Amino acid sequence: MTAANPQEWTFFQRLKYSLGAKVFRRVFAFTLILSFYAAGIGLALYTGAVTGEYARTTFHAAKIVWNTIDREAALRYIDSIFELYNRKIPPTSNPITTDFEGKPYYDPDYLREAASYCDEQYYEIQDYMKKICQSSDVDSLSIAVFDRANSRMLTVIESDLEYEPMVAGAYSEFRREDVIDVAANDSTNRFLIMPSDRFNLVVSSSYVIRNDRDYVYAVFCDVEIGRILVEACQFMLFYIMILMIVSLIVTLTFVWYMNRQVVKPIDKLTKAAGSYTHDRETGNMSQGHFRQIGIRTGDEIENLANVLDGMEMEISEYYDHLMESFRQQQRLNSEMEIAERIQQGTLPSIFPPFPDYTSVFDIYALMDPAKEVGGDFYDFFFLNDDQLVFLIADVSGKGIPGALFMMISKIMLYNNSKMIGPDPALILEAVNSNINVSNPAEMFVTVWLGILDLKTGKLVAANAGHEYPFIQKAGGQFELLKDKHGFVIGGMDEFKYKNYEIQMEPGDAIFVYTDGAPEALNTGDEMFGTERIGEALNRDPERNMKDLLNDVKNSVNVFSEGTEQFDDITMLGLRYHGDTDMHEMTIEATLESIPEVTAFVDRKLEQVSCPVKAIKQINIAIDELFSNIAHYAYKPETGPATVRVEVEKDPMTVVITFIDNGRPYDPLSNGDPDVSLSAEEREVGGLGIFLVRKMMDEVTYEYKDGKNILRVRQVIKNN
Amino acid sequence: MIMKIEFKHDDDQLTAAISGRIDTNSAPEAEEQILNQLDGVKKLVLDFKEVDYISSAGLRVLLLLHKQMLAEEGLTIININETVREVLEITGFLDILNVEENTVEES
Repeated sequence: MTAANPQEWTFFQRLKYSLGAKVFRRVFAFTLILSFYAAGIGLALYTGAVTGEYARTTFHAAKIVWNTIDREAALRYIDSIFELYNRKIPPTSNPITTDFEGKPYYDPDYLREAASYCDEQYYEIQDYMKKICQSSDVDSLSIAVFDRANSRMLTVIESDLEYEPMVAGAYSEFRREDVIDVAANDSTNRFLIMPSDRFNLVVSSSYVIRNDRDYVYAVFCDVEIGRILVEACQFMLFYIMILMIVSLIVTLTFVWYMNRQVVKPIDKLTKAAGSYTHDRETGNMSQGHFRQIGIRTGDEIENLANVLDGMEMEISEYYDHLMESFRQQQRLNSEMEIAERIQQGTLPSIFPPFPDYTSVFDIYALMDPAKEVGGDFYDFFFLNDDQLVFLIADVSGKGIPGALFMMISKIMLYNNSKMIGPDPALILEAVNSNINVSNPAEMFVTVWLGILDLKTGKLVAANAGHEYPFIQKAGGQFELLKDKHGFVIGGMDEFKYKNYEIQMEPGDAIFVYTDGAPEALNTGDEMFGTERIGEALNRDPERNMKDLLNDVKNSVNVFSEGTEQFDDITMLGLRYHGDTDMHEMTIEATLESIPEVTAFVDRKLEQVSCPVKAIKQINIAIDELFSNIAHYAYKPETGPATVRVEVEKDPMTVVITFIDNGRPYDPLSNGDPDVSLSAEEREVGGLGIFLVRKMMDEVTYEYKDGKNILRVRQVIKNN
Repeated sequence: MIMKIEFKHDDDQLTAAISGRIDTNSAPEAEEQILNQLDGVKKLVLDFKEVDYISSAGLRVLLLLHKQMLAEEGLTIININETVREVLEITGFLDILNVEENTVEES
């Protein structure tokens, strides 16, 4: 594995992986192999030439001997010694025995007899052969017979420049089949390179005199070439060393050149690219990283550096463009966010919106916008003390155009309502014609608008292409009201809308919404639909509007889980309580809450000018009943308790209801304490409830839907 | 509203002028404060002139103080308003306790 970044290589890694080192190793190895190969060929050629030359020389020496000596005498010596050899030396005396010095041992009689043939002329021939040796520069010459059957060489006459020549009749084991066989067929130039006892390497030739089946008569000539070859090898070694040094110098030069021309520039480019990346990361926008390093190699590397320089400039420009459009996008996004906040801000979002009227009606609305600013809106406001306008609308289109159109529509609906008064159809007509005066984008808005008379409960409404509302009669179920639809606002000039009336009784409710709820899709592309809205509403239709709306919204969210919300989900609900005065608070059921509950009730009672004495009585009842709840309802934990104050008229009657979700507990089930006992016998337990029952006109308890509901009723008598 | 008590020692008589409400939250405090002052007191007078109302928790304190003072010269409650009187009457405390009947106007 190489280290990831060549910049961080250690010295040894550099030696192992760097381009220069790699090239050096390869080139050096290659030149070395080449020099060895060349040296080998040279040696082989030299050896061939030398041996060829010596083969010729030896053959000629042998030939000269036979052509210049007294052949008759020579043949006489050969015949007589060969005859003696055949007579005296049996073939079985093979191997040749040796004496104690390791020299061949011959029968002395045999040698003596052989020597007897050696006359003066024999020695003259021997001397003559020695002279031939000297003049031809060969090592030895011998006239001998080769005994094929016994592989023996029988010496007849021998001369040697360096050693004592073999005596006549001496024979030795000898295998020279190759030479002899070749000689037998072709008596021209044949030689053999053979190792011998005396010489390292010998070139040996023969001039054949006679050749029959068993014996070869020939003049043999040897010359030692080992020394010459050793000299040649030494020369070759020297030559190889020179080659090695030369190739080392050549390789180093090449590597140095390559380092300068290739590796160094590449390193520089790498470093420049690294510092470019680093600068970008640290926010340094300086340029010319590739130009600064100044590569002037005048080849592909310089070309590469120029291309990289151009690329850097282009990237910088591109980056600047990108940053600019990113900043623009950011500004747009933040503007969108502000627009969204402005839009959301125009929707009433504080609930209850009219704290003085919480006993008359309960209104709640919510908008769950899809990703961007949307076109849904709702609104509610008073025309006068008794008439409440509430409306919901859905603008075609989303984003900035939708939001702009929404703002226009909302303001126009408000202004026209205020100007025209309690006639929804007229209001919608006016808004429609106002919008159609200038509607270049051909946008439209659906509106449901109702005006409720809080005194009489009469609701007048008109629908401009909006979804059907849900109506609930007190104690009943929410049902879809298929009201008369007019055309959408912005769709057509001079459209006449129609009013319709609903008489709201105390406890009745109305629920309106935009298409985001019924048209919410689930993962199976199924719509939520109005039926499911009805189901969600009717799960517990008596709840307050906030819980009701949130339940519908949650049902939609659960239904469409896993899909992206593509439309705003907006809804508005109103429950009419009628002319009764009701106030409610929910608080932790602890003793510490009693002062707050008392203050809350007192405030309401003071508003209706309840006499001080009655307030005190009611305070006592609250103290007794709430402390009872605090002690027992959630023991040992705590939980919430709701306190509701209702003031009825004629005669003025205060009804206070305590509701908790604790364990069922009827405080009225205990019997009355005996109040006639003496002080010593009295117990205080149960006295509180007894006191309340005596002081209040009516105290009732019921356990319903998991709730303890304790209600006290007091008719207020004006002094 | 916070309940407050002003004490006045006169020889062995202690007058405690209570103001505010004697209810679940204030009764334990009233009990503690008064008991702390009872050393050597033979006669205890509770002035209810400034008492708005009393609930059953307050009655418990009255009963306790009453029993405490039985051994001495007893407990007297003075200046009760109509609401307090109603409570004492309903619960039979009017018969047990020594109450000076000169009810004050509701304020």
